[in-house]
Amino acid sequence: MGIVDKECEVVENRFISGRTWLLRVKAPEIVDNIKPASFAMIRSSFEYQYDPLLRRAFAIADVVGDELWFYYDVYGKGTKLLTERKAGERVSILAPLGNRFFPEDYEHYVIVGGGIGFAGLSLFMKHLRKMGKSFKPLYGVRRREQLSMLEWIEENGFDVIVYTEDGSFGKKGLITQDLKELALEKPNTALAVCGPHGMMKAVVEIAREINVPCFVSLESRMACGFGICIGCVVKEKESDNYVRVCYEGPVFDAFKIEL
Amino acid sequence: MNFYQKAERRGCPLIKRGNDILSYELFGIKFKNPVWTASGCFSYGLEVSKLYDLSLLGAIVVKGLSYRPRKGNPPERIIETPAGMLNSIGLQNPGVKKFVEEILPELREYDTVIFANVFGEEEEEYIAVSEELDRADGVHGLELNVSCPNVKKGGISFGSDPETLYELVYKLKKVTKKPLLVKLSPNVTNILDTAEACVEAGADGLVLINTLLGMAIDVEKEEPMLATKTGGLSGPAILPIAVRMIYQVFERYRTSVPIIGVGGITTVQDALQHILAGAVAVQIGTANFYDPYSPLKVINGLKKHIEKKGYKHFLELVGRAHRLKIG
Ligand SMILES: Cc1cc2nc3c(=O)[nH]c(=O)nc-3n(C[C@H](O)[C@H](O)[C@H](O)COP(=O)(O)OP(=O)(O)OC[C@H]3O[C@@H](n4cnc5c(N)ncnc54)[C@H](O)[C@@H]3O)c2cc1C
Ligand SMILES: Cc1cc2nc3c(=O)[nH]c(=O)nc-3n(C[C@H](O)[C@H](O)[C@H](O)COP(=O)(O)O)c2cc1C
Ligand code: FES
Repeated sequence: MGIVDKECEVVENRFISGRTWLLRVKAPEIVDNIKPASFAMIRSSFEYQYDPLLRRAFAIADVVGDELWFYYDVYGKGTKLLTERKAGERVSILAPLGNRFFPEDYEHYVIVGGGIGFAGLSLFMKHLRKMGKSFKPLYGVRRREQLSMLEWIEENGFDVIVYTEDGSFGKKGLITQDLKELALEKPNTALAVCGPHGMMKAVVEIAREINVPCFVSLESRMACGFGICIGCVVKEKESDNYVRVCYEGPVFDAFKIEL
Repeated sequence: MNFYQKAERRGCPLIKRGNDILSYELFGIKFKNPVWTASGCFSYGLEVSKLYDLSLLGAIVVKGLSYRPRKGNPPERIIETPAGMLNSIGLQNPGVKKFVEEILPELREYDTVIFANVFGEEEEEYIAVSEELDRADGVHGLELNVSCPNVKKGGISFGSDPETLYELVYKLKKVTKKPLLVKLSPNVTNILDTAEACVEAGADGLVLINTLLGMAIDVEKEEPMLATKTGGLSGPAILPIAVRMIYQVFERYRTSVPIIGVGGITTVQDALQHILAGAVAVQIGTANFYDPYSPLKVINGLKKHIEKKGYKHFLELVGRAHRLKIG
């Protein structure tokens, strides 16, 4: 029936760098259905503990054998509690979620990942490679320790342009600084973007200016993650209606919504 | 009519045991079991059909319907609170006509009972929505939302003032032949006053409770977190309030007015508290968000509990905390 709610065994849950942790779980019932940019709702509390009450949304960053990989930044109650899960314990996962993903019919893609947003694009990169499409990934953060997916990038052999604002690794500056040229390099190019709100806005501005199609994978506060609370909305420009990020997204044509 | 007078004891509503330990007939409708999903916490049901078969449910109450489509409130619309959440969705919905034409045909394919949650900004809108739903094939009954605290003009005044409520329910009873349930707001001084208004006006059943008005403040930004500032509190945090109000209303009306319990139910233990206090059916709301299978778990849990306790039928449990039997 598509979406599965499963107590999954934790294979590994470890600190990577900055504020990022990696959670690997065994999920043989889920792995086959996953599309790039689909996400999961993970319960950080144990069953029938009501604080924190709601599950947290995380992008499925990778699928390796029968494992799901999540890269998560630790901020509040839920993510702090999640770090306490040990290998061998179980964690409740509702997945795969989302209904609209990145279009696959462009010839070339520029992948723009800001901070932990890179985890919303990593599976799409793998998918593009499998389809034999050409793409150029960009990865931007403030400081070096926030490059928590570098190891993953190296292990998977991707050629990524890295930007740090303080110049502590890769190119010094913002992820948007070479974007125009990179996006105009090849015909039939689209941008696939995920990251902090400000960064996404800046990328969409550039895309609009040079008239290159742009698709954003969005975040919003979610209570359910599968379409029943109508809490996670974003405004669609043409209809002037609110649509659900979890159900009508998480990927949207950036020109059609109000960011 | 002076509905403040102590309500006369009325005849027992038509309630008949079914063959299964959980099934019964109420309002002339056959229910497989007493577990419903609550309005606004299940959309129009179809999204959940990707998780399980909707026919397993006792009933589905769809998201609130107004006559005109409503865009709803801007984000943030939901905020997590200790053991609960605040929402201010603002009753976003496609309008009753679109529901009847486009959503209902698919939904009524499932073998379950459908209640439509009705909302309006003024009496005329309630009437117009109810007229549409009265005609709609596949809608078994109506649940009036008179208590949504989200929309500035609407809901709240109907639900908190007994006289306005009486007028509304009295008029709507003339509009529809289908069972009319009124969902009471807990944001009142005395729940018995509004319950009485509904009963006197001829409501077929009462649904207790809707969300409690609340607020959360972001201490960094130093401002309310919801775009509308206030919102409705739901989830485990409100369970004891719901149980208390059901108990109070059952104490007054006993079996003469069916009570549907809603508020804070996640587990069968929670549901049992509602039932023992006097609820003949329960609705699960917020729990659908964090535990989507909770309605099915409660159904199975009820069966097990009844067997373990040695009862023959679910109805023996209803109101038992008052040491009374029904059915
Ligand atoms: C589709 C989607 C995919 C995501 N993927 C990732 C990912 O791969 N890695 C990652 O680190 N983060 C991801 N996030 C963000 C992540 O969900 C939040 O950082 C997390 O919910 C914060 O929880 P907390 O307990 O730390 O914060 P708290 O402040 O305790 O959370 C309180 C409430 O606000 C919500 N909330 C707080 N911050 C956010 C946010 N930025 N986005 C959405 N909801 C928020 C929480 O879910 C919770 O309901 C994703 C969000 C969405 C919607
Ligand atoms: C997101 C959300 C939306 C809701 N929308 C409606 C609605 O449209 N109409 C209504 O009568 N009640 C609505 N409610 C109230 C619920 O149906 C229920 O009465 C309340 O949440 C208490 O139950 P719970 O604690 O199980 O959630 C809504 C509740 C939530 C959380
Ligand atoms: S999170 Fe509930 S509808 Fe999207």
